[in-house]
Amino acid sequence: MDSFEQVWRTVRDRHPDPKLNGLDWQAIHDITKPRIAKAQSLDEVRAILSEMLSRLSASHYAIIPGDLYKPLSDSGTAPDGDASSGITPMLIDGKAVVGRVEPGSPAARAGVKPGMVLDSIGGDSVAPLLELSGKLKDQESQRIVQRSVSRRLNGPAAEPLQLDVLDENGAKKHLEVERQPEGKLVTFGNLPQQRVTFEARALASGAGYIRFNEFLDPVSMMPRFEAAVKSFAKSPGIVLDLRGNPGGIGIMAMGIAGFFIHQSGLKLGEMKMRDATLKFVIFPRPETYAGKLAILVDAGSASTTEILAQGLQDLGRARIFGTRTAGAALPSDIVRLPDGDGFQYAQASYTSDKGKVLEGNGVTPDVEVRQTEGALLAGHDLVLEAAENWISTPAGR
Amino acid sequence: MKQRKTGFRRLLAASLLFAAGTLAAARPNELPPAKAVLDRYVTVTGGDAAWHSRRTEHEEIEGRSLDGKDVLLRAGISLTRQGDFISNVQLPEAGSEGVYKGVAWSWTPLSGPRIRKGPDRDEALRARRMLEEADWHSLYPKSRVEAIETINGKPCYRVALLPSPEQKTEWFDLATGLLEKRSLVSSGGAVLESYTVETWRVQDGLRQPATLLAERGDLRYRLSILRVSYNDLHLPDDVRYPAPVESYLNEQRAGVALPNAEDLIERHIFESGGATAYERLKTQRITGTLNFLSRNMQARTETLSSGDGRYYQWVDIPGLGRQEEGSDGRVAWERSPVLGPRAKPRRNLTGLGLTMDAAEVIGWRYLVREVRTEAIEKLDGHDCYRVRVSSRNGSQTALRWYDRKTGLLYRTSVSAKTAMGDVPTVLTYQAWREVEGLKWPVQIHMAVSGQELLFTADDVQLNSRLDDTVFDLPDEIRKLAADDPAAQQ
Repeated sequence: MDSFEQVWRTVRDRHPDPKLNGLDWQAIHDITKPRIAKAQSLDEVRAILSEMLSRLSASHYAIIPGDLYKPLSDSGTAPDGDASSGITPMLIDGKAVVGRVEPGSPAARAGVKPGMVLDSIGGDSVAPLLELSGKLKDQESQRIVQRSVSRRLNGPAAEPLQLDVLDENGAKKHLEVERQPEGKLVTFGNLPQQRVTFEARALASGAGYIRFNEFLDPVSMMPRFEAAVKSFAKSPGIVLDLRGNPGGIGIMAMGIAGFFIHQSGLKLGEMKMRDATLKFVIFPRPETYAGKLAILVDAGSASTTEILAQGLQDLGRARIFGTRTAGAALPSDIVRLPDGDGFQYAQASYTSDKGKVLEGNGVTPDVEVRQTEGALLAGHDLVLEAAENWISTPAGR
Repeated sequence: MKQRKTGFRRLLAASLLFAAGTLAAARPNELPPAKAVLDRYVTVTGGDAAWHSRRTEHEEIEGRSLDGKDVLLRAGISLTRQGDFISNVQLPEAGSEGVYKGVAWSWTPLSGPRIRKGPDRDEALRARRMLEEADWHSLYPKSRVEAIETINGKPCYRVALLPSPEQKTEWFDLATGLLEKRSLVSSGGAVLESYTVETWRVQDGLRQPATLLAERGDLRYRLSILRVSYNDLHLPDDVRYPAPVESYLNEQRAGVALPNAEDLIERHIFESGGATAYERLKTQRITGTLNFLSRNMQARTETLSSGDGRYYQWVDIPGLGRQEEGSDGRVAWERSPVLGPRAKPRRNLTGLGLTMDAAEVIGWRYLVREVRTEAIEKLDGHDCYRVRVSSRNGSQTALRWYDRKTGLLYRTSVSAKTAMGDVPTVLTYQAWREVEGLKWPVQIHMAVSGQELLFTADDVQLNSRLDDTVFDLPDEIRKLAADDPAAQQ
């Protein structure tokens, strides 16, 4: 009953629309309360709560069963620590696949290659996580599972990662992979400490390539971003790889967009809270890049990444490649309920410049490119290649 | 010369010093009693009977710039023998005031109705201008002739009309007995306003000034009595207070009236140091900590202000870096690691209480269109008056709460305009410190669109010498401004 009251109260107090789209929320409370009181099981309670939340007709209002938290938790079997093996996982066709191996990383040295299937991490099978992935259908849940796999790949530097993978022939291989701190350790408010990585290089095609893993640490990241953009001033295009980037500081989307938009008065979109509407205004930099801009995204791209990608897509400034993003562009929160379940709710609504609602929908790429195990094993990054092809095509977009 | 000083006092902003020249030394043993001078004036302007034959009077007045091009003042004044009067002002600001059945009142669009009390009421009652000349005996029984001075080349008796809280002084031509000049002098000796008669008109047996040279501080204009009529008012309607004043008076009698918002704002100014202390305020250097209460973050910050439109502020936010903004008086700018540098619209005083600029605090009347006291509310244990403030252009409103006990501002709620949109901002002034004769807020709780912050000043320097170069534009801003002439204002 306490959980029910907390869910009901949270929606009443935090839903972006104080009128809850015209719902008589008090009446819904009064109808639901006796049903909760009569419920015989937690599953029944969840079903009643989910039914109540469905009245909102909005995404990202969800009851997450408490038992689903166990495999997602950092406690228990999950290792602690932030040293990286250099592996970026992806979920492909229900499998956890090595999507990227950082050049020169411990994983690269240990022989891990893109396309290999992750079978167990630290002695724990990945299968339970993948089962969750199957149960949780939306993009946001896919992202949560993908991040959970990522966290398990990280750990203390002193403790090598024990990894079982399936190679290109389906043969199981055991690998011991060292971990090493990667990127800069960043603290911001109540966020857990994060390692922020930044990479900028020229691709063989002549395009510039920029990738960073979080929208954090602007003090050091923004000057590096600016330097990279300037160094690519004569390149035919820039690829901004935001795959797996979960977002971070929202206004960094405005700051980065300013390097690619020269016209004042434009915006990426609007965030509507109960008492205010904030425009994600683009402030053009003194020098802006006028060449082609390709943004790479996937299901792990969320929040600030989506705000940036959708905004620049709306403005016709960027072409988006990859797969649909997480659809988690809002300042949503997940709280734990007294019964152990989780409750996810949105604190604001967000619409892009053209009025597209990102919450629950994500960014739909202009060019949908799905990564495959085979391509990865063959050394191809299909998404990046598609972007490079577009940039090198004189006809344009 | 007719009395309309009480009304004029509220008409215009200028209230600076205008020193009356003393042109000849007084010789007390040669001076006549005031009675002789004032009775003579009544006589030469028509006589006691003529003055008292009128039951009512109405006149239309107009003030124009000395070149005649600009109308600075326009008003209609109605008076009765019983002492009721009403002054309806159209220019420069609409408003009205008067006395009805002994109740002295005023009404302005700025702050609504007000009932005048104490010396202010007494002055209003004495200001029954119609009978003033003929009834000086009862209005100013202690008047005395102080000197003989030359005005406009004419030897004149200088007569102090007493008693009056703001000293009225009149000069009468020794040769003709006519009024030559009238001044209102503050208790500090400053001439608040003066009128020198230029022409006269005779109507219905009475001689009255037709045009006067008016001086209020630096402002000089020509005041003309356009039309005068006697005994044609419909009583009591033509001199009765307007309906809002009557309602307010009834509320007062029922004990439920709220104080006039203008009075509450002025009380805050008084309690926090007074207008004079604010007028002395030039530079500010405030250093402190900004605590983001729900985010486990603390930022150091410093604000420097020159008092002449130049300012510079920085906030070092962990994880976001230094946020800067400033203005050299021409170009306003801001810069941050996230958004980079940009020139922006210059920060304007809004009158909504977002800055402690002296011009905003004591010059609030010029920045707002309307203030109204709405309610008494208890905030955090403080009994407060809630005042609604509307900006000059009407586009913004703010709520202010004034502590009934201390008179100080306790809370301000305003939707602050930012480049990203209007951001609801609630400032609660939790602690004050005496600096340079002013009570300065040193702990301010801020609720900014749901986020809570606490600003704590650890060093407040007012009127200290500042290094002017701190207001200089950073090189990259100077370059931006040079490339964008619109940025220069």
